[in-house]
This record gives sequence, C-alpha cells and structure tokens, in this order.
Amino acid sequence: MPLTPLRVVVADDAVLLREGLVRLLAEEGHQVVAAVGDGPALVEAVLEHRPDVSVVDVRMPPSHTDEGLRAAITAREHRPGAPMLVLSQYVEASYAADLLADGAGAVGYLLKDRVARVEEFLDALDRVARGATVLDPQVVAQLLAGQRRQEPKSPLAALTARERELLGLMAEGHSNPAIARRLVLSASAVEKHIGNIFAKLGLPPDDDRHRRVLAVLAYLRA
Amino acid sequence: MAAVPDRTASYPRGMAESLPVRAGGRWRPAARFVFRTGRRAIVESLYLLTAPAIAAAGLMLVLGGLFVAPVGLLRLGKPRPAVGALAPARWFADVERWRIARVRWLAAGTEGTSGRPRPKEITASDPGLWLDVAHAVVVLPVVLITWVVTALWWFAGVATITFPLRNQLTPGSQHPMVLYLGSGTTMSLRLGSPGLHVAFAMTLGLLLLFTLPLVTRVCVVAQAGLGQALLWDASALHRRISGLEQERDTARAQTVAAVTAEAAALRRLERDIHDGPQQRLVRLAMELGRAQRHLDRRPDAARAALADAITQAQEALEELRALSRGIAPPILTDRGLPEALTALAGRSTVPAKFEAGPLDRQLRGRLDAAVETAAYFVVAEALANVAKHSQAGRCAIGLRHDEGTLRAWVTDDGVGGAALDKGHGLRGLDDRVRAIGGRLRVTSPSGGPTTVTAELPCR
Repeated sequence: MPLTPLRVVVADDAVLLREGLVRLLAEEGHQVVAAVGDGPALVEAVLEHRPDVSVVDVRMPPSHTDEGLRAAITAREHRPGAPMLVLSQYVEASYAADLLADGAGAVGYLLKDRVARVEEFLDALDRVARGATVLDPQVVAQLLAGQRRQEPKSPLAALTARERELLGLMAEGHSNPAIARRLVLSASAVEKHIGNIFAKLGLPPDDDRHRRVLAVLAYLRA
Repeated sequence: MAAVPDRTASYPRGMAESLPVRAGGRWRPAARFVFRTGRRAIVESLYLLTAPAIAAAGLMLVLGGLFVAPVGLLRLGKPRPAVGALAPARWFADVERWRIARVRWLAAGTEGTSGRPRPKEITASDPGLWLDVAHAVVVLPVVLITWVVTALWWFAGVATITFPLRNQLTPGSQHPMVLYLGSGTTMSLRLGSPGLHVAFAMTLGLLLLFTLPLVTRVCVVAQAGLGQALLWDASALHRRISGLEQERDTARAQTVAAVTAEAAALRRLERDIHDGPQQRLVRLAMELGRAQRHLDRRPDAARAALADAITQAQEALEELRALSRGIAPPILTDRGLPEALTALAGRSTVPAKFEAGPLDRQLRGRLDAAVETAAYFVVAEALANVAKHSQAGRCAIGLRHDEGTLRAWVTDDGVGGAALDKGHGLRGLDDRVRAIGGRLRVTSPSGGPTTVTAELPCR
C-alpha cells in the first residue's frame, strides 16, 4: 500500500532501536529528518524541522522515567497539534490521558512491540500524521476492564455495551468504515451509534474529528 | 574492712629472689594502705558532714517548686512552665550525683554523672523528674542520721585522743571518770591514777579513730545507696526495657536497610531488563517484521533482516544470562562462596587474586544463603569499582570465617579516595550488608590503597 512519504523525527535513547526504526522508515520511502536521543533534543528537532510526525520513546535520559512523554507534550505546547506517535515498553492509560489532554488530537500511544507488525505500525504512523488518535489495544483493554468499577454518575455509565465497544475502537484510531467492518454493521448504523455517543457525552455538533478526540478523552478520564 | 594486703600476691616470684626486697620494702604496702584508708575516710567524712546543709537547701527548693507548680498551672494553664518550677529537683539531683561520683569507689555501675537518659525539656511525663523529687524529700532524714553518727565519732575520737595534751596544758582540771547510765545513775570507772586516765583515753581514742573508716563507709553505703537507687536507673526492669528498646531500634534499622536494598535492587533489575533484553527483543521483532514484508519482493533485504534478527536473539540471550547472574549467581548456588569468588577473580578486568585459606574449604554449604549472597555481591561490586574508579594494577580478594563473623574483602593498589557517601554504589552495598546485620568498612586514603570489607554475622 503506497503511503504518502512523511518527514519524520525519531527520538529514542537506545541506539539499537533508533537505527532499526530509521532503516525501517527509510525503506518505506519516508524521510527521517532527525534522529535524537533525549527529550530536549526532541523539542528542538520538532521546532526546527516541523516534521509531519515524530516517533518518541517514553523513557529517555536523563531521568529515565517519562522524559519522552513530557518532551512530546512540551513540543506540542510550542507547536500545537504537532503529531506525536509515542512508543513504550509498557502502556498506562494515565499516560495516554496526559498526551490527549490538549484536545488537539494527532497523537498515538503504542506498545513498542507493535513495530514488529510493520504494516500496522506504518498505518498508525500515517493516521497520526493526518490528525487521528491511535491508542494501543492494551490501553483500551485497561479502560474496558476499568469500566466494571465505574460509578453511576460518570457520563460513560449512560453508554450501552455496544457504544462502549465502539468508543474503544474509536480510541484505537479506527475509521468509521473499519469499525463497521469489525463489528459487522452498516456504515449508517455506525454513524448512528457514534452520534448517540457524542450526544450522551454532551459533545456539541462540531468538527467531527475534534469530537472524536474529545470522546476518547472523556473515555480516558472516566 | 579490707585485710592487710596479701603479700604473696605482691611477691609472686621465688623466696630467694624476693628476700632482699622484703627486707627493705616491708612496710611500704602497709603505709600505702593506711594512707589510702585515711584519705578515703576524710573524703567520706566531708561528703557526710556537708550533706545535711545541701539536702536541707535542696528540700526547701523542691518543696517550694512543688507548691509553685500547681499555682502556675492554675494561673497560666500551661503545664510546661508549671512543671518548670520543679527544675530545682533536677539541679539538686545533679549535685548529688556529682557528690556520689566523688565517693564512687563503692558505686560500681554509676558511670557518668548524668545518671539516666532524660528529655531536654522538663516534662511531667518524665519519670526521672519525679524520682529526683522523691530523692530530695526522702534523703534528709537519712542524711541527718549519718551526720550525727559521723560527727559524734569524730568528736569523741578527737576529744579522747587529745585528752593527754589537754590534761598537760590545764592540770588540776581532772574530774573523776564516770559513766552516766541515765536518770542520775552513775558508775565510776575506778581509774585511780592520772596515768590510768591517760592510758584509758588513749586506748579509747585510738579505737574510735581506727573504726572511723568503717563507720564512714557504712554511712556512705546507706546514704549513697539511697541516692543510687533513686538517681540512677539501676533497676533491673529499667535495664531490661532499655535493652529491649535498643534491640528494637537495631531491628528497625535492619528492616529499613533491607527494604531499601531490595527496592533499589528491584529497580535496577527493571532498568537492566528494559535497557537490555527488552530492547533486543523489540529489535528482533522489528527485523522479523521487515523480513516478512520483504520476503517476496526483496529477498536480499529479507535475508539481511533475518541475519540481524539472529544476532539480536543471541545478544538477548547473553544479556539474560548476565542478568540472572546478577540476581542469583548460578555458581554461588551450585558450588558455594569460595568457588564463586574464584570465578569472580577470574572474570575481573583488573587482575585479581583470591587467597583461599585452608578454612575456606570447610565453608562450602555451611553458610546462610543471605550471607553468601551479600558477601558475593560486595566482592563483585567492589571489583567493578576497582575496574571503574581505582586505576589499580591488581587487587586481592580475601575471605575469613572466625568467631561467628564472615569477613570478605577486596584490596587494590589504586588511587584511593573511595567513600561511602560518594556514590560508587557503596551506599547500596552498605544497605545490603546492614540488612543482614553486618557492616561495611571502607578504608581508602587518598593515594590508596583501598580496602572494602564486609563483616557479616554467621554461625
């Protein structure tokens, strides 16, 4: 599947993975404009090169905690909506919520292992670059597991099981036709469900992409 | 009363050798004994004779404080200034402790003049304060009795021994010697001649003066004994409690060290896994993904990706091996500490020699796993430090086991200057060692040599 060539910044402190990613992206026709090894360098590279998307490792020096995540958020403060695909050895829903907090979308949060499925990884990269929100199925699974302990006053409590499932797929970054294929529904049924979800979460009719991000954010914060 | 010093103890050698010495120094020990006893009797007498004045002053101050304290409590409503009025009890107790310490030859176990641990602030919850008050109240009658006895003994002794002198100076003032047996009944001693008078007075005076040390000692035992009982925490219960408290504190410190060491080790392990095998495996998966993607159209790229994947798999295995060695070294588990240390010495970057003593052979399988592991990691970490920081040319590993302690140490001929608070991972090692009740010693003068020793308790 020929994808649009993207200008990419890669940030990972492990040389091993950085080189692997650079080679992988180059082979697919993307252009890696900068490959950096820590948070401040990432912010600098994003502001300097204005890439179509950045691939960021969460854990980087000097603190080796969530340095990469915070650098990605800082970079987006300077350049709102700069697409970020964050990779990590483990995923936590609260990290995803931090990333989505500005409501601008164009973020991805995936387990590092996903790069092994090269096609899915490249697809996610492409979708993030185009402004979608892509969350790892594990994050979504964590959220679904948390639903059972949901207190009744949460807006999500009003959603039906079907609607929650649909919201989960939206969080994973799937488009309406893809969701329709997965759930074996018609496109109009999916649109109707999504409309219900937006209404129940109190999201006004607006730019549809923006509403999707807000819905996922409500999902993460519940 | 102590007997005349045992002369055989003073002359432990053969008679032939000691005879000339005896001829010259026969009286010296006896004179020393008399001098010491006399001096002690005088010190004790001073202690006893000055006691009532101090005790009376102390009692007045303390009683005053006891009356002022409730008034202060009513007026100020704050317990602290009210209790502060009892401060004189503390001062008096301190004076008395100091005085008792002067005559402490009998007061074994009264080290220091502070007597007992106490809070800096004066608080009503400090039982010591109330014992001080009790002492100030109780001690006065005892002090009066001992004062009367001591004063009487001195007076009678001095009076009788100076009788002949006074008799010479004022002749003719001699009265007949009689004993008054109460209510007008008298008994003549029938000492007819002045010579007999003098002899009787001298005998009585000498008797009184010779028994004086005995009397002062009894009085001091009574008076200072009371002080000791109230002013020092000599009671068995108190000692037991403070012993238990100390044990508890040690155990607590050990637990904290153990938890810290464990948490630090786990965190390091997580980092090591993250930075090592996990990255390798992600890269391996990535290469396999590439290979799969290029398999049909670009077999060359696929082949290169597969070759890379194999390398990553091998590296990941190697890293996992190193990690498991870091958690529980297989050779330590399988063959015991001496063998494991030999292996460490063999792997060391800086040439290392392990001095295996004859005793070390018996160590195998006899040690606690915790002790063995701690000793192993101290040596491993110390060797890593030698390689990283010391610039040493060679180093030596040692291991000794005696008197319930296992000592493991590493010495190098490097530049020195290592310290526990400088990092170098020594702090973590210290925690690890303290966690099992041992301690880590680092001697590392600037310029070297450096020795890191772990002393670990073991049966």
